Amino acid sequence: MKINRNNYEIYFLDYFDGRLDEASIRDLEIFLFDHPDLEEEFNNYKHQFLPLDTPLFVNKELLKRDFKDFNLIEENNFEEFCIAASEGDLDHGTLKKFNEYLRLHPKKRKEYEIIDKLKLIPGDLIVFPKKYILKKNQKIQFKRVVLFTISTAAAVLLILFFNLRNRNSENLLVQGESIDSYSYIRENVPQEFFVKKPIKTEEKKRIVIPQKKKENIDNTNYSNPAEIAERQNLMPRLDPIGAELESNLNDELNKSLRGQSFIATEIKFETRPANQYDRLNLLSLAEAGIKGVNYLTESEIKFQKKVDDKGEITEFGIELQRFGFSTQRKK
Amino acid sequence: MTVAEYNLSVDDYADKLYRFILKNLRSEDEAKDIVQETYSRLWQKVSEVDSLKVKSYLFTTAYHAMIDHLRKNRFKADFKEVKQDSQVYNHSYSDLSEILNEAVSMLPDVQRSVIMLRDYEGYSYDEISEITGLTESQVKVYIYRGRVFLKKYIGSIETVI
Repeated sequence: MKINRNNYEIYFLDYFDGRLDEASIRDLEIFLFDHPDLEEEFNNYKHQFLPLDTPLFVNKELLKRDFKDFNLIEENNFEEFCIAASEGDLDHGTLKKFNEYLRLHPKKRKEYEIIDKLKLIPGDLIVFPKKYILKKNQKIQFKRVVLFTISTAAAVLLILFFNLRNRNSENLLVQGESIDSYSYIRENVPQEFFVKKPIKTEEKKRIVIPQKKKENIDNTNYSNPAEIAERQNLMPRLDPIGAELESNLNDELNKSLRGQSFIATEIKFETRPANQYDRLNLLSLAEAGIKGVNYLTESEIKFQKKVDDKGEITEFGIELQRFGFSTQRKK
Repeated sequence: MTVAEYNLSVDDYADKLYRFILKNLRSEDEAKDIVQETYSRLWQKVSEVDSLKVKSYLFTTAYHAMIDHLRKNRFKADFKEVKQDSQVYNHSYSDLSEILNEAVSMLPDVQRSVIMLRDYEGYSYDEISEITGLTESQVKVYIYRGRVFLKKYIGSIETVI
């Protein structure tokens, strides 16, 4: 039915009753636009509806009754009393009155006992089959810090693992014997570290190239151990060999010259006793790296190694809070 | 609640929930579906539901899912339409619980659910009210009428006891 001047009142009423659909509302809007004289009448319809209010009856609860409001237990309310007693809805006084009534009416007691038995008993064993399908696995929720920790440690350790599996990581990389040529120091050590006095021979620390490697490097220049170390992919000592530092060098430079103290200070690595050779090898570097990551990210990643009966390392592993991974060492 | 608490709720309440729905629907497949759907909804809101109130949440969700299912699939009888006098039997039965289960199945859906929640799960009137969305007074009325119906259904019960 299309809205027109003969039926617009119906549309007005339906609109304010909320019974018009969207298409009809659009028709109504177009109709009002075309007939501005009816707009005022449309607006007046708004005020013809009674406001909706719900007055509340105050203290409605006082109208309610309870079993104790019954003066007598009689035939017409006995059944209800029985159910109430069975459901535990009678207060102490009313229950006492009910029991007295039963004592005086044995037949009624039997009827009460029947009603008291009218309760379902969950005796049959009904079990939901394959309950495990309802369960969920423990979610491993990684916080960003942990993810960062894992990715950083994994990146560092993957590189080290690749080397560790193919090397005897417990061997010393370098053991000290001083450079033969004093001129090497002059040429290669930065000026600010240049010593004032030449070092006495007996004070020099010695670098010894492992016997195996020596055979392969007969033609190399022994005067340049740094080059040897690089060629052999060995990690050189970080201490300047045979050098004593200027006492007036600042603390920062001092730190940078001492490998172990650098690690100890910057990465909170435990320092070793001063009277021991620095025993920096890939294994200790890996451990130091892990400790560094733990320090920076407040994590508790553990770097572990397994040894066999002979004391040789057979496996390396990383353990995080919720999982771990390991790799076997190739021999 | 945590995942562990969620899984614990499966151990604690899945069977009870299944029994409640199965007794109402009398179809194992439909009951399984509703239980699974209920736990699926719980999982979606696992972080919002308090572990101490999970039983109530499960039964409320399952109850409403069951009622929706019944309304879509079955003809329901209003309690008023159940003629009390027409359900009197004089057969002699050997098992009271069997008779009661049969009698309860005759009740309309909502009343049957209320009686089961009361007897099987031991819920109070206000707890049943919360689960079913009925008022406490309505719950009480349904239970009382249900008990009367059961008594009349059983009929001559001396042959049973």
